[in-house]
Amino acid sequence: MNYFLHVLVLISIYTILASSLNLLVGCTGMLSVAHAAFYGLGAYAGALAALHWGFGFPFDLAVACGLGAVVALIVALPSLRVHGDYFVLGTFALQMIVFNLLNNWTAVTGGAVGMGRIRNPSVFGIFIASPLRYVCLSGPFAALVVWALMKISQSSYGNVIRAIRDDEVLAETLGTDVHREKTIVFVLAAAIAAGAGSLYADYIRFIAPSNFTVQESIFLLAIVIIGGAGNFLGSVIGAAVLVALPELLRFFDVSSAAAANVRQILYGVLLVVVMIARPRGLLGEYDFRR
Amino acid sequence: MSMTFVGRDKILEEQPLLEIGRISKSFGGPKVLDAVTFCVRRGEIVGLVGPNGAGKTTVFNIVCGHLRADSGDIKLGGRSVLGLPPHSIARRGLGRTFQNVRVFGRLTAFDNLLVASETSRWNTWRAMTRGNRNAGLGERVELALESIGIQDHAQELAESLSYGQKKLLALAMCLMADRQVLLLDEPLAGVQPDIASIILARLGDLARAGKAILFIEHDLEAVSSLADRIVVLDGGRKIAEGSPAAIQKDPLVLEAYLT
Repeated sequence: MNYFLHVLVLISIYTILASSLNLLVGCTGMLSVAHAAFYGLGAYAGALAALHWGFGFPFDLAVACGLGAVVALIVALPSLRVHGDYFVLGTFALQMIVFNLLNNWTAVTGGAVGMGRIRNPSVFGIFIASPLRYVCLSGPFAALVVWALMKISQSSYGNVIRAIRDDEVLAETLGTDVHREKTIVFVLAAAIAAGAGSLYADYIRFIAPSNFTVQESIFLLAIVIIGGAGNFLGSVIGAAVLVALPELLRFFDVSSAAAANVRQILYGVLLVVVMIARPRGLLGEYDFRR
Repeated sequence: MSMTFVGRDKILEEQPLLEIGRISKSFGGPKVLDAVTFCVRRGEIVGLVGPNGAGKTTVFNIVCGHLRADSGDIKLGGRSVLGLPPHSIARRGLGRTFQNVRVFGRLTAFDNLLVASETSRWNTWRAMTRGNRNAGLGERVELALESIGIQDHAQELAESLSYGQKKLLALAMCLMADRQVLLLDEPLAGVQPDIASIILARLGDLARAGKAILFIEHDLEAVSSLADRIVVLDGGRKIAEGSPAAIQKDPLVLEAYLT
């Protein structure tokens, strides 16, 4: 039972991550491979806040979201002025910088060996230690994030960011401050990803830079693409499928050393099959290949 | 769409809505624009003509803020807009359509018009918290779609519309944005006669409603039938300006078009 609940917690955390990335990639057309960097920054910020200040879960979460937002804002000012491939390269550079920072700033992050002894959160005096209680915390959080992003997507603002995705020059000619709106979306997505990082650190209680590599960013992109770009319910389903799929390997006779590689192969095959058979993803608004 | 028509004789005496003052531009080599000067008044339709490479679209790109002039000034409603970013110039009252028609392909025709309307009164928080359908705005969008005759395609993705319908949609986006000055890059090029007549009718309405319209066309005869005044560019320089009748007899213009 606990194992099943553990998978549910992971699905809810990946739902938060994928939904925020979907706002960026699917709705606004900003292909980022740095989402795991914000996820990692949030995880470390939340864990360090818990370790050093001990004000409790909501404060740790706020610190994580705040740091994600501030870093995103600093990065956005120069990098969002470039488009397409150059933007992807910019986010790749950010991902590598953050990973190397987490990996080498040993005094603060613990370096490559990671950070342990992270306390489980306490909400309104209730100590969230068991997977069941954590499902009760992360599940509503995921639902709230998906609901809020769907509301934004269905609002006038959603229309405008989709317009930016389709044609930035035209949107600008009509009076949209494209750089400003892209910055808002980038900061919002980063803050949400950092919040998911804090939830993850509180739950797993041990984090290491290897959890937040560029492969993790690409995994998140795979969830968005397979679930369907621009559709937040698609992100929920994508997260459920891609988190649960490798867990099926446990029921086969695959060694743990081979399981990691088989998992990568499974993701790759699934991505290729979806791109060929259903380029919109499971519930996507449009063909992601264009 | 409902419009308030204004007396044209009166408005032609007013200060121009768009003033282009001695703008020059080069891209490292010879000048593509050389001290080009002209203006467009409220309620006036001005045609900008010239052979290929004359600098017509460059003028548009500089006025819109997509290119920066090397020298000269651009005034919109009497205020300089030189150096401002395109969205800022648009919000000060400039609308534009493009030679290669541009619409938001993966939005419906209806949503294209909603976006055009929203961006003119932009407030991020209000936009995030409000649904994208409100009764008053929806009615305006439907009227705009009716005025260009594509109301039956309102819920179709813009990318699935025909070329002519996209041109109409692009024009309707200018209507929805409600700008005072409109720059239209070859609005009649490549469209069938029935769509061309709709576009001409709407341009007439817009001019009577007091908009200043500057448009590019290659065909001098087509321009003459629509424009109050024509500006002719050749090799980046203004070689003539005047009424359609005068332009058609101008020896410099005839030479530019015949050579």
